[in-house]
Amino acid sequence: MNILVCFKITADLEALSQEDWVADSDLQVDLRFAPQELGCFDESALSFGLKLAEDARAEGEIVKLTAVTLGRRNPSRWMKTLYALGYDECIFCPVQCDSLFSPENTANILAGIATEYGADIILTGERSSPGGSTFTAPLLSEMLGMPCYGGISALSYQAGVLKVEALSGDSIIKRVLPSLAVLSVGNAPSTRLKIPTLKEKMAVSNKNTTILPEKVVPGEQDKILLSMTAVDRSRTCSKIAADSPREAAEKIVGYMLGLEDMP
Amino acid sequence: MKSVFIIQNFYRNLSSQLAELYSAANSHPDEIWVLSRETDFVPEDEKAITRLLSCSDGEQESWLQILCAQAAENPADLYFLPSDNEGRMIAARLSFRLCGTALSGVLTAKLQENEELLVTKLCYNGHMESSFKVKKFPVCLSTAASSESIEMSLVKPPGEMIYMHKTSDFIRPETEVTEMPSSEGLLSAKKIVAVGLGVKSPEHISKCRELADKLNASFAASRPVVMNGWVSEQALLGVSGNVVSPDICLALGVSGSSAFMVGIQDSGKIIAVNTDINAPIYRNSDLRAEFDCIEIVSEMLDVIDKIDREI
Amino acid sequence: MERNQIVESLKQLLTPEQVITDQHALNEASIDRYKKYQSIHKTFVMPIPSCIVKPHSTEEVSKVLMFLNENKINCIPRTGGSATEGGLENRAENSVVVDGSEMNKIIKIDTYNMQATVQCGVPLQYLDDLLREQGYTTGHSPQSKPIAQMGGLVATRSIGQFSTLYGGIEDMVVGLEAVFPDGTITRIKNVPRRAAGPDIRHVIIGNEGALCYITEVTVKIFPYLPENNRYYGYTLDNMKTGFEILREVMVRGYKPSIARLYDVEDAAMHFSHFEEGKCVIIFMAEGPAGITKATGDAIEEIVTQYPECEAVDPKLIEKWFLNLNWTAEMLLEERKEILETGNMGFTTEVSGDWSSIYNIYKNSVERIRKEIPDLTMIGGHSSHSYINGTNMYFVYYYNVVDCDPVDEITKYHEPLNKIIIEETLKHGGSIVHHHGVGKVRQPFIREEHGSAYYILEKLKKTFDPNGIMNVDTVFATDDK
Repeated sequence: MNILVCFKITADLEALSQEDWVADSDLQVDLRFAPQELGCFDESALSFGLKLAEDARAEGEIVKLTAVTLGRRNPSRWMKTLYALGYDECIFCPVQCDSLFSPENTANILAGIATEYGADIILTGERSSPGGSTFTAPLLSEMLGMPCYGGISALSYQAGVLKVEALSGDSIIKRVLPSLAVLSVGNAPSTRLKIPTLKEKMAVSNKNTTILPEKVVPGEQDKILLSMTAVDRSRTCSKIAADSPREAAEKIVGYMLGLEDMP
Repeated sequence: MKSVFIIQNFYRNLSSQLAELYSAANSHPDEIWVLSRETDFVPEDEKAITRLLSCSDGEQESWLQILCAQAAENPADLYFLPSDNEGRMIAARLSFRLCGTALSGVLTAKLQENEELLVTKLCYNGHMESSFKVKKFPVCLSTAASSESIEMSLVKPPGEMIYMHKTSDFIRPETEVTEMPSSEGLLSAKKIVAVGLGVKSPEHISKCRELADKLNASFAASRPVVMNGWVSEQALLGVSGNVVSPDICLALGVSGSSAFMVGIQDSGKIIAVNTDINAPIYRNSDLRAEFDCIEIVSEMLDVIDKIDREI
Repeated sequence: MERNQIVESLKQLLTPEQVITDQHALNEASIDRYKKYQSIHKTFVMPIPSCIVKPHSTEEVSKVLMFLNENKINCIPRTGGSATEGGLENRAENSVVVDGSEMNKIIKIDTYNMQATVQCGVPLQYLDDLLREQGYTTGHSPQSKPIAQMGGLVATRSIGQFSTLYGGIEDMVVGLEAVFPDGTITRIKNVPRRAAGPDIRHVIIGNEGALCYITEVTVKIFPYLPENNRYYGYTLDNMKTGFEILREVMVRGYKPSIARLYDVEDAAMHFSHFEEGKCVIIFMAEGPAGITKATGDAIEEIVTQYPECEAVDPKLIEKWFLNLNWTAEMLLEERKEILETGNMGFTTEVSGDWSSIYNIYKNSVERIRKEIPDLTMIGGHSSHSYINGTNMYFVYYYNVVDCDPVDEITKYHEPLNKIIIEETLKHGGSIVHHHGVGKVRQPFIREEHGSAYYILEKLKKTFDPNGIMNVDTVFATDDK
């Protein structure tokens, strides 16, 4: 089994202050000052990758588990963590143009890597900032001719069978999957990555990121970005006149039960 | 330009999907296609549907084959799909097969006089709104989630009803579908109690649910609470969950990230309870109470009991 | 006295609403952040207090303390509850937590004499925000600022991020009011300086609730001139160079409000968006424009003497500061992470002179890497510098493996702390720079003070002869 997990290191958007939400002359927001983090949906995908590999190996299967990311800078700290957690290979592909609104470019590059690495099961988080299109996984599936399953919230491998679960509307859909699939991971509870110990990191300190040749991607072909403006959701934010939780509770109950008009 | 609405009756009701599409398109489509399992499916208002595309399963590949065949026979320039997982994925894959353009989370799609298409959508987790001019057609648009619903009688009958039965050669994997209690109550709720990490532990969730019940409100949660496994995904509010528009939303211990605010921004009034005076939810709420939400919940339950006893 | 008798008596002394017996609140009150792992796992092994009382005035504090003293009941003084060293942990049966958070009035802001007088329960964030609106600041900015209150900040001898310019709390306190166990209310008046005997403020500042209860504080205030702030940041290869740069800046007489040196591990946690695999040193100059310029120019000149240092965009440093303080949301996020990953993070801070600090750092890190199991991170930073030395703030994380919550402290935290304390004492440093002794470092208090412990011992015997004030905190257990 050849598992490929695609992830992205993004800016922690909640760390920006209100004043930072301004588009520059390229109609993008300057994210250089925000701390970096692993996208939360991608973290779930990486966690599922480890689980799938572990379950399959427990049944005697030969598994290769690979993680891949694209971007401007090799996120070596995260790569070391992934190696320490049990990823067999971590790949970084430098990309010259930031495909903010072009998941097609992202999917194109990933499809090439997936083909080269002979991936059977491809996992990726459903969405990541800043674009948040959710299109990377379905486009990957089209480019590779593999079925695609989205909103994955649980995954297991037992007796040679891969099962996934997804919520659609009010239905939980459990599927037994074929050997080839692209899985788009949605809201999957309790899928934080473990933290590797220093000893575990030391044990893999000789493992380096595989750095691929830089890719140059074309600019937007199918649409032109015209404007980018901050969304203003501000409201009056009046303080409830209350000196104690009891007083505040009385007021809120009054509003909620329609006994009192809200100011 | 010809526009088509594509909806399905496998996992969602038709009116909520149509409401989203109408909200984005702001005009009647030329046709409405419904993907349905039953060949003899009769929608509430059959005049609203142009083409009923029956399909044996709820699998994307089946739907894609059927839609591609339909698009080949009856091509359109704009295809509108709903905000849910299926809608988004179909939009991406259909546009690929039709060599067009795909966009998700679409707020509005307006055809200009010069036949250019202007699209707006949220990005940066809901912090920013972007607008695009689309150059390459056909365009497959998955709309932003919306809490609106629509009277089927208001959907203009586009034309003569045509029933189509299509099949795909896709072999469906072994599938088991479990129906959960309907979340339509949440989507149409007038009052909502939403909880965030400020409730601190799953033990307090039951008290919050009790409060919601006593207030005749629906219960919902932020993503961190759902990701902890404390509450099911059906109750999730936000950019990757449900969008609601109650008259009042009581947010308990919610920090108010932009991704969450997308879920409740259409509320009539928002009351926020949070001890963190710097929580972003405060500037986006109407009323605030800077107290511990667990204390507030206890006090509120006590107040309601007192009111009930007096009655 | 039985628990219910204590509760009833206190209800009579104050009002029933001021006496809290909610079980959840009492459980949480039996520990502080030192036992956060147990708290998250709802494992409360310390004795549970009998109640929490919330006095509304100094007179009420006096009545309560007299009652507790007469009946030999342990008192745990508390305000914001942000303690990290076990200072708020309960070690006695039927203790009473005296919570001053409802004594939260701002009594006077005097912008002519540059003083602010507040009750002990005033949150520092609230006070500072109020002052900033008027163009002033306390200059005090510990990481706990959004949560901590003034009484506790003085009781623990706290220090803030801008201390290199403004000093620690001990430099900011002008006068105060405190109540002693026998009910005596003392008021130290507000004067700029005096030589009227030893400085008795220092009996109270840092007592950690083990001698008296602080009810009111007057602190200096300073002009708030953020428009003149200048930020500097550099990456470098090793800590030794970093300590040399810090020393150079201090010895030459410059006082940037922030002077911080991060090792590679700690820098990776904070500054991953601009550099990996390097130490980071950052400065902020604050104050009147002429001073910030001179300070900034001097910093740039000093650093250029070390060619390994590469400058980073100052905006990166400025933005980073916005996120540094604990907020309630961050603490909740931390609880969630700990529950899901079983990974615990903590800190221990010590101080030493310039000759010893690098060895304290290096030896501690080496030993911790070797001796502590399941360690996922060990690093640290220096954040408070003086002309004659600096502090070292160790940061460490470990996975709690095959271990009940109740054993986490003995398996990981205590041995880890012990290594740092041993190395610090060996090199003549202090085992606690600013978090307070609490219960955690109390076993080492005699070694810390040596022969000078005599002075502390007598203070405890004089002011708290019945030993009711926060037992096992600061003072050695056999002191009464």
